[in-house]
Amino acid sequence: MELQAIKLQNRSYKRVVIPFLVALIALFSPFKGVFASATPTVDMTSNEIPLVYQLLQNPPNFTQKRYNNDTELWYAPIKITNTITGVNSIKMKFKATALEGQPFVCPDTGIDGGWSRKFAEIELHKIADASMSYDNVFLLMGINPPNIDPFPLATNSIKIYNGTYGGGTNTTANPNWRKNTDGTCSLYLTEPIGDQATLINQIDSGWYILRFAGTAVSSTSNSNFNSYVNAEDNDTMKISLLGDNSYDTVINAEGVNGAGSPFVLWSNYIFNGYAPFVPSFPYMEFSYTAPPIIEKEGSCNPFSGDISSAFLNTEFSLKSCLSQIATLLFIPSSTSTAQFSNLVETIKQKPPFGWVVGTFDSLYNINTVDAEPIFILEQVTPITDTIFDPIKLALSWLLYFTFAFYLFKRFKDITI
Amino acid sequence: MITTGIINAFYGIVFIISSPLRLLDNVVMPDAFNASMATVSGYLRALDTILPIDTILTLLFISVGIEVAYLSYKLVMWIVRRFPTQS
Repeated sequence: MELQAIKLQNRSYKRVVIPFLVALIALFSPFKGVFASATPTVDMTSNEIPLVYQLLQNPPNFTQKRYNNDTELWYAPIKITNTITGVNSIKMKFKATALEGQPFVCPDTGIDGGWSRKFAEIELHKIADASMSYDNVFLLMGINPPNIDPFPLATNSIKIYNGTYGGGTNTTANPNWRKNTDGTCSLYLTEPIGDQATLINQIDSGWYILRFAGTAVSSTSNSNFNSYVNAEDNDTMKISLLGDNSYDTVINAEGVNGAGSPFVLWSNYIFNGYAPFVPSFPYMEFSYTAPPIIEKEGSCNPFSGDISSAFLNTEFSLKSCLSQIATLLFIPSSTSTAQFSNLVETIKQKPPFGWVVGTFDSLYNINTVDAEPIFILEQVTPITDTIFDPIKLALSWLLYFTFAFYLFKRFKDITI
Repeated sequence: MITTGIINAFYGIVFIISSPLRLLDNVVMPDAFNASMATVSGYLRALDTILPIDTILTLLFISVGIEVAYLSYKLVMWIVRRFPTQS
């Protein structure tokens, strides 16, 4: 009986210990990246929604074709899911790759908003419900022959921006290019204040056409952009959408400058009517998560007047006061918690911990340290590709299987 | 305020306890050790063409991690069993 009890005790220990060991391994092993959260981090502020783009994995072959020759319009068909609530601006991220060796340079916030002024008008037109099939959507768009002219925009069109041309700096009235910390560019579309309610109410799931259009093209401020992008005829410029974790090309804009002179800027390129963008991908699919609606906090400031009117005072909020008190009492300050990590970092450099940490750091980096090979094996690419690489792969699998078997046996033999 | 105070008090205790450690100089790994690691790395790089060094190292570290965790656990339990009423 006693022996059985001991066995049971051992089993219960194993139930605790084995997950503990696995967790420990997961935490400290070189595999720890695998266990890390794959959730992308996004920049989310109170009034900007980052749209998370998901491209179709296998976009159908689409013959590049301008919708309407020699006009100043460019369409980006998109499919939007979910519903925007409680926001007044949409952020779309683009990444433009190099154009003829010259990187796309996104102006920092605050720089003269020449980029933005290139877009005289950006509209979002709903053309179909989300349930409509892809083919029908494009038939509706008239991209699949026969073309339909005029463009069959549905009546339910939403004009995100219809600003006047000529804003000197980025303003809320203009689409606003901003540089992100990862080097990508974001186009911020902020709807006019007066139309917020309309826009919010009207953007719902469905097929939309993002219509970039403009008739007002700068002829004087191009010098701002010549340094950004300056391409020769027939160059190909790619604008890429920023996906969750990768950059996927969405639009190939092939330039054919009919004037025979270098075009200066892609946005200018659109609107000058030389040769509009040619979307090669038929559409982009947008999905996004609306941020939670945060109830507006009232003020906790003392108010003057009759106390009986306190709860009628729209500025005063008892809830806000209680919330602030609770926060003050029970939420630790960031500095109080941060000091522990500083202390740990200090101790990690002191003996005896420093020796252990240093040794482990060296071991972890043993395969990444920038050391010269002791000897160099002669490599013949075809032989490497056809013989050594497969052997390496097979060895890897063999090692993993062997290790799994070893691990199984090891855990069985563990006595606690 | 309350939570912050508790955390600060706890930090103060830890800070005092760790003061002898903090007085010590920072560890600098010996040059010979670094040189030996570089040598090992050099061999690994050379063999990387034909052997899955990444896999071997990964599995090696996992094995070491398991054994270290197991030994640590046994050590902790050994200490716990020193307490009265613990068997």
